Amino acid sequence: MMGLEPESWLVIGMFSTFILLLFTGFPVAWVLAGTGILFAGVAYLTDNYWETATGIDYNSLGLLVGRIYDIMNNWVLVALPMFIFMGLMLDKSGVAERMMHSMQKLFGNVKGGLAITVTLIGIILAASTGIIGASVVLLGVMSLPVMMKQRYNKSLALGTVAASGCLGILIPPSIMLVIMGDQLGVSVGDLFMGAVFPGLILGVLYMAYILIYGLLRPEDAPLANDHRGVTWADIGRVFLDIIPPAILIFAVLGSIFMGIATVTEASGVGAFGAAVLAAAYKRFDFAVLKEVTINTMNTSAYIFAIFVGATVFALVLRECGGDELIESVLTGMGLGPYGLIIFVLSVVFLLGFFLDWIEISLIILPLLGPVIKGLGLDIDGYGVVDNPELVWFALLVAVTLQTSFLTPPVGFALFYLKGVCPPEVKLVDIYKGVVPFILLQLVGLALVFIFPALVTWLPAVAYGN
Amino acid sequence: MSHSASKKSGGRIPVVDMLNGVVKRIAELAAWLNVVLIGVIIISVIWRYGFNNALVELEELTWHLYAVAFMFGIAYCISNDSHIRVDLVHMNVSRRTQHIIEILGIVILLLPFLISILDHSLSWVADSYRVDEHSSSPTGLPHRWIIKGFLPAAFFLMLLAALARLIQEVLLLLHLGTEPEELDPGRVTMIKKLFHVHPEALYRDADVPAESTRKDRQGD
Amino acid sequence: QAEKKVLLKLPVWFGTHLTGLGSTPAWLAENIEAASGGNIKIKVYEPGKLIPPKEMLDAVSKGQINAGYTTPGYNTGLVGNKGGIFSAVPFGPDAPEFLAWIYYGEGRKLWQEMYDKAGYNVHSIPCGIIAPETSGWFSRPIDKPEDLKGLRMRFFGLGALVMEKMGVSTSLLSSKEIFPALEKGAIDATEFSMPAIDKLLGFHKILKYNYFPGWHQPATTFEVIVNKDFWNKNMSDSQRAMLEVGCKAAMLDGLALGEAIQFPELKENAKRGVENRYWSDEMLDAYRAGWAEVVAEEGAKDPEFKRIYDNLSAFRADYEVWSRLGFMPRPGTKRIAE
Ligand code: NA
Ligand code: NA
Repeated sequence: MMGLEPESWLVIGMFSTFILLLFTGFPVAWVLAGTGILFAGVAYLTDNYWETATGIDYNSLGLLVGRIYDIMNNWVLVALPMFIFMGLMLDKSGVAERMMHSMQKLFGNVKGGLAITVTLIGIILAASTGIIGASVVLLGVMSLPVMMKQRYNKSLALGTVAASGCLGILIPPSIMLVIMGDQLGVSVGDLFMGAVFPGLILGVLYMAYILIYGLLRPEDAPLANDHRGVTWADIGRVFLDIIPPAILIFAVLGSIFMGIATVTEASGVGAFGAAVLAAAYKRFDFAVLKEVTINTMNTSAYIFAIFVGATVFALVLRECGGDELIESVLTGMGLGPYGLIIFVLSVVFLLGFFLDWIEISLIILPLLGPVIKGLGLDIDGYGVVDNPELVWFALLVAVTLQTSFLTPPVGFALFYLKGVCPPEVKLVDIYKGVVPFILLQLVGLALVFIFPALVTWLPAVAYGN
Repeated sequence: MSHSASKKSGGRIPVVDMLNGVVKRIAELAAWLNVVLIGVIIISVIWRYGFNNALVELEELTWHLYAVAFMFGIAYCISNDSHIRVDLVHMNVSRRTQHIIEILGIVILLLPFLISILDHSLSWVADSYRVDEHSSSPTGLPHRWIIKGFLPAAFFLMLLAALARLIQEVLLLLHLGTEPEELDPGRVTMIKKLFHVHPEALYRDADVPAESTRKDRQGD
Repeated sequence: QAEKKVLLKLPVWFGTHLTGLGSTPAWLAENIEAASGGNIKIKVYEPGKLIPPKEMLDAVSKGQINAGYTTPGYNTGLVGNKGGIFSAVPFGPDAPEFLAWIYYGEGRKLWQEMYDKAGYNVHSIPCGIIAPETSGWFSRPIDKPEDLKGLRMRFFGLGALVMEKMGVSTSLLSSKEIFPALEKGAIDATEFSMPAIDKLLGFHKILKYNYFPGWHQPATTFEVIVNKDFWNKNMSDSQRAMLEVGCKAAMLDGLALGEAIQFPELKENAKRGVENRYWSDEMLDAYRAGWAEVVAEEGAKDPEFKRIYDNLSAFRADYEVWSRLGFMPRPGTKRIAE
């Protein structure tokens, strides 16, 4: 470490302080902002009494005001509270229960049919909400009691719910992809399109696993005692229950993909549509609207607080030469482009154990974007997708982060699920249940890594002439 | 991390309740801007596709509305204690340690940040007012200092919320207030609150079908 | 005893990968460090890395950063539409004539005065110029003024006021916002810069009609702004002179580079299925009439606008005889006189 410039010590100090302070449990946003301000002070002192030359002083912190204002006037991110509203409102509309009820009848004759139903609904929920907490909790509340009653293997039931609930963050519309698009400077539309195949592949892998499991160990995925044949009425009911949310999903995604509407417009229309749906199911009144409205504010605010904290941290880090240091460290490792990407994904995966996707997207992506762009990767954008290597990279990170939600000890989804489990279900049961699904996630990740066309082909077709 | 649920002081410390009340009332009012935002987006969509006409003013209005809602929301999250935390270690230390962490965090990390931004933002808004800044689009909104003014306003609200928390934590550390009842690890509590989930009730009768469970939750 | 080195932190409006536009401040940074023997170091920050471009003027004025690379036309929200005159004037001077007014007429003096009167504590150094821009990309042919009505278009500077007169709804998106906005239909048309630069932003993938000539920006100038206190107190005479000279050199380099890289792209346009079109006389007359209205209105609203524009017009009136007699007509275009 002798060859380091004096500023590098500031960068290293900043990162270590940040990580240490994180574990005190003080809110992440304020740890980011506070570490930034603290190190601005440190840098000022080392400029004057040591040999650094960052040029930071109290006056230069005024730049932060403009940077925070830049988050306020970001028209891409306007979609974020809208999608959150849409997700929370759909939750209130009772769409998911209706689908659960009718699809359960449809798949009642298949071993593992209930679990497959959960996965399918996970996919549909994913496409409509994209809020992990919402999907996991909803799926858990709807299906766990039934699965327990049907004497499903506990681990299989829990794993299915946790994994399916996490699809929402990947399958568009996804607030995570909105943020990634903003941070990497790539089209949100490309990311949405690019996420469709990886998301579906994961869903299909889950279902295949459940089917095979049901065949090999039928006693662990039993049929309901009262199961009967599928009637035409059942099939009709399924369609009736699926059509309204399907229309909403296609209206939102279709209008974005076909270039009819901007992401913001689609998100606003989606939020409105969700309210209409709730009203159609007689679940809409002032109390519901008020609750959804305030929760929308609450949820988007804690996300944006991290934006604010991260912009403070990033400025001071940058002024201390952090960008250059990270770039030189990453490119100086001699890993080669693909080795570097694997390294980066491993780091993201590890960070995912204790950091949320929001912090990871906001802190890591802006630092990595230029490095990845500079690798000169030959990813085919079919002449349509701009920066195909970044779109591909973003989806790799997205799948990795999604995996980390499931990863013990502290994956997001596991805690959400624990919150809605009967008391006798221990965290260890959940841990056991998600292991096969984590492996499936890694298979999905490997597929996306080996076949970038899974990501870039669809946006190219959608936006090509 | 967690989205800790509100640890309501429940009328224990009047000044804290007063400050939190101000913050929450203003923020909950601002929350409705998201509903207005939906309306504005719908109108601009109708305007665009129905009348083939774009209104730059409406497009600018969208981010004005979203910005005010989330900026005040950040203060709300301080009062409501719903900012994301890494609670791995946090939930395994004593109450006393948690109070000390909270006090040091507010004094060393949060307050210096809030105060330096608030300080710089005042002259920033004043300058925008002095030149009567308007949108850089010719037909955009005038008087940009109004929306810029919401930045210091929101930071002032955050400062109030932070002070309320500081007072509360100090008093609790000194045993001058009543500790809130023991809570689940933060994020679980948040989810339960957010979705009105009562797992115990859910599983009390294993035969509860999903539909009626749902009604229980609705009635909460 | 060596003098104290200075470090200018220079946030920019355009990514340095935009050759011919964003590359100029990078060229300046590289060459001034070499030429000054390391006495002046300029660290270029890509757009938004340090400060959002729209906040640059305010931040430099307050000394939060010591310098920035911008153009008054991007700061009309702060200094008023008169700022646009120092960036690009519709139907105005081309590069040599513009430079003549700036350096040897009263242009630069008025430019600095504008910032002083608006209370901005900056020293402005003209530092880059480019030849005409393309006047826009459209999804369909624009044959008559009515074809423009109802379009939503990204447009820069004073020309945007003219487009508004034509019934176009304009917005000033930054370079990285334009393509996504086009792709998603948030705007129907755009102009940005010269063909080689527009190509980098990918407009040709969506819009197939590229119009010329650049009536709205026959020449566009850029500037380095330095915090005035920093300029006066922290820089030595030689450092100040060095930066002035460097900017004059950057001016020349940007112009030469811009002129060298356009023609291959225009030839490529055909292969990309893009039609290069020249505005009809009817359209140019309509724009010119719109511009006359804008000048009258802006002059009535802001006496400073009128004063600056009159100063430029007076210079141009004197220059006119030289312009008419001194130059060969450009191939393929008409002589206006006779
Ligand atoms: Na989603
Ligand atoms: Na332009």
